[in-house]
Amino acid sequence: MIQRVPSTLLASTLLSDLTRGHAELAGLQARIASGRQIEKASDDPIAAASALDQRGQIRRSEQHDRSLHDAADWLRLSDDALTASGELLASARSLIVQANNNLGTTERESIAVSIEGLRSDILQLANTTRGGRPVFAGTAAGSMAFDAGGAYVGDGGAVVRDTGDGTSLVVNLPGSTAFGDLFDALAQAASDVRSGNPAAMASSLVRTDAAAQTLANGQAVVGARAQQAERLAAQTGVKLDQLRGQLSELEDIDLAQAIVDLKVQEASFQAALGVTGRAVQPTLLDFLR
Amino acid sequence: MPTFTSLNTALTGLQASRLATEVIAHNIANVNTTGYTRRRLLLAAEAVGTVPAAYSRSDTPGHGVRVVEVTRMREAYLDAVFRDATAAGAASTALASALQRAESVFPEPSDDGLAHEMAAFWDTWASVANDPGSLPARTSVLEQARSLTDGLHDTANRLYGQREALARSAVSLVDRVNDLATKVAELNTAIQALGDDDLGSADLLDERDRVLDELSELIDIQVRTTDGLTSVSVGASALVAGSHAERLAAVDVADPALSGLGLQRVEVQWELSGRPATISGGELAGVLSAVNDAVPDVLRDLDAVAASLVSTVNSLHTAGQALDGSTGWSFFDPAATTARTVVLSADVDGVPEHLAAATLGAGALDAGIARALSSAGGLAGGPDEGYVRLVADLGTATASAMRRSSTGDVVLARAHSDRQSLGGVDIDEEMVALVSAQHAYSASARVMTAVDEMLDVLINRTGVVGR
Repeated sequence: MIQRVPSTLLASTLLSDLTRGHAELAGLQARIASGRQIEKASDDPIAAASALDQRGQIRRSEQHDRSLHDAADWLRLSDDALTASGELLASARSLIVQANNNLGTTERESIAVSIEGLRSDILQLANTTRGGRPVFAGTAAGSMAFDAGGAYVGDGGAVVRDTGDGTSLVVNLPGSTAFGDLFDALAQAASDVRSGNPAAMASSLVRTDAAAQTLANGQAVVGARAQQAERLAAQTGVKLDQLRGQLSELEDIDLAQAIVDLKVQEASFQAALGVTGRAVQPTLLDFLR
Repeated sequence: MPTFTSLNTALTGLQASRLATEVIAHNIANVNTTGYTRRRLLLAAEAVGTVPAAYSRSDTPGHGVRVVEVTRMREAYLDAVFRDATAAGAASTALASALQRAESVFPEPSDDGLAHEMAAFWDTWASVANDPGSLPARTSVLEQARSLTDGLHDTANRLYGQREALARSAVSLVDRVNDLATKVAELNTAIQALGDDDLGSADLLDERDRVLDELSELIDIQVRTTDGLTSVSVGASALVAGSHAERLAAVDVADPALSGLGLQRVEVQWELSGRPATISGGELAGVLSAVNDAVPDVLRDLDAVAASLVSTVNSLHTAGQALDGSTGWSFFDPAATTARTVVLSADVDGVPEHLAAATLGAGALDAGIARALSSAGGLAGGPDEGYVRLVADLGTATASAMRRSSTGDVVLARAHSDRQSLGGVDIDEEMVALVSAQHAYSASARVMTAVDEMLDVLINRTGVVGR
């Protein structure tokens, strides 16, 4: 049996086909214009969920990246302060050696004053601040790590930066660990130099050497951590690039593919228009006299 | 054999052809009328003697043509299939568009959605972790928290607004169902008065079928026609019986599943008995499932995200220690755990010093708690995970509703074309019928002329020989 195809049915079928073709065309065009594959979650719920996860991971990695730069900065400041302190301490040591060379009272006095001057320079370095916060004071509040007398007023708390999911890096060295009894030792040395007692000066020299060792140890720790921070920063950068690449793969369209799809859809829409133009027009009326 | 029989026979031919032309004219005039069913003229030869009897003999071949009826080309089965498909399609389309609207409240994945607000909130804690003594960093935590809670309020309020609008549309849909049911009952009365074999009742029958089609878009109905009267039932109860129509009403009823959200279930009941009506199809069913299930589900998930945000942040924050050494401050108000109400607690609002960035007992500038909060976005079972699940679930529900809706469209298009293929007007076909009717008319007229000429010969020229 031949299925009847009344004119109204033909018209409505053609119209709905055209509408569908047009909607698909519009969807493809919108997709290309926005450059995004997922406009809303229902476009691809699974990809949308992974994209959201990916975005969260990127945010956290960016956080870690910022923390690592902050950590590197903090460690550099500490390192600089410790290096400069080491140099100053070395000059103090040579002054003590010089003072132990049977010098007169006046000369010893001037050496003692110099040693005290070096001590206060190192004290200033030990109170190096970053954004108003002394870097050697641990987690204590206050504007100084060591008071004017050279006593440690910070605490032993660790300043920690998160460097990854579940990993972290301690970026500070408490002043008590970094400088030990350096300030006492230098104060003692100055008074020993003043007194001119060779045995006392010799023992001051030993104490100064011990303080220098402490400084060097601290410097080694800080240097190693600074290197670690740099390495981690580089790794985080690579990870961020990877994550962004994956996100782009999820969210962004493959332009070449999309344009090919658009062209195909355009062609079939044109064809549908042509067919409609031909199918709608003629009726028997056109052929009856 | 009477002399004028053939004149009369030709006359029935003329009348039948004229009626055929009228039917064709009516068909063509209504070629684009929604719900119009094409008519076909059913003719039969007028037999001579319908009751055979002794000695009854016929000396004529027949008495011409007789109009049996004007048939509406319609089949109850195709109507039922079409209406079922309409109801099913309308239900899934209504649900799909409600879900699409709900989804538009969550512009994800993008830099504008709640996921972004939440990530930015954790980020501000990272700034505090890097610089716990900085009041600007602490203030920015409070600002971002406010922006996040505003986002949650806004999202929840928009969803509540959408649900409100859906509930209103359920009420107006029920009103339209009542109107249409009344209309069917009125048409029943009119058709009964006219008699369903009356030629003029065909248009009323068409109108009733069109109203039933419209009704099936709103609600799933079963239709039965006996003796020209159509009865319509919804579920197992009658909506229209003869000239009487029942009424439905949309009523808010308490529901323990929705009371947690401060909502009531919208139920459609029979107005007279107050019993709930069983509605399983049509736009009304889609709207009801959106209003009672789909949208409340999203709201529940959103509230769970808010509650998880409050508990995650507060459990860490209350255990911490503020800049001034004080402890026990809540970050969010622990009593407000829904998306609409979540708010900063009075402990910290406007007091950035009270942000407990430090671990209890550690130095004032310790940042243990701030660090933990800055990475809380990646917590398994945390608010971010809950939110991603919400977006994915809503996306999946929307996508599958849209798929069902487009499948429904295909089924409906099939049912429509089956019905149209039987009852739709085809211009070509009508033209052919018109040409035939025209020819038949001319031929009958020619028969009449021939008989007329024959009579002319008999009356005027017979017996005038030699005159």
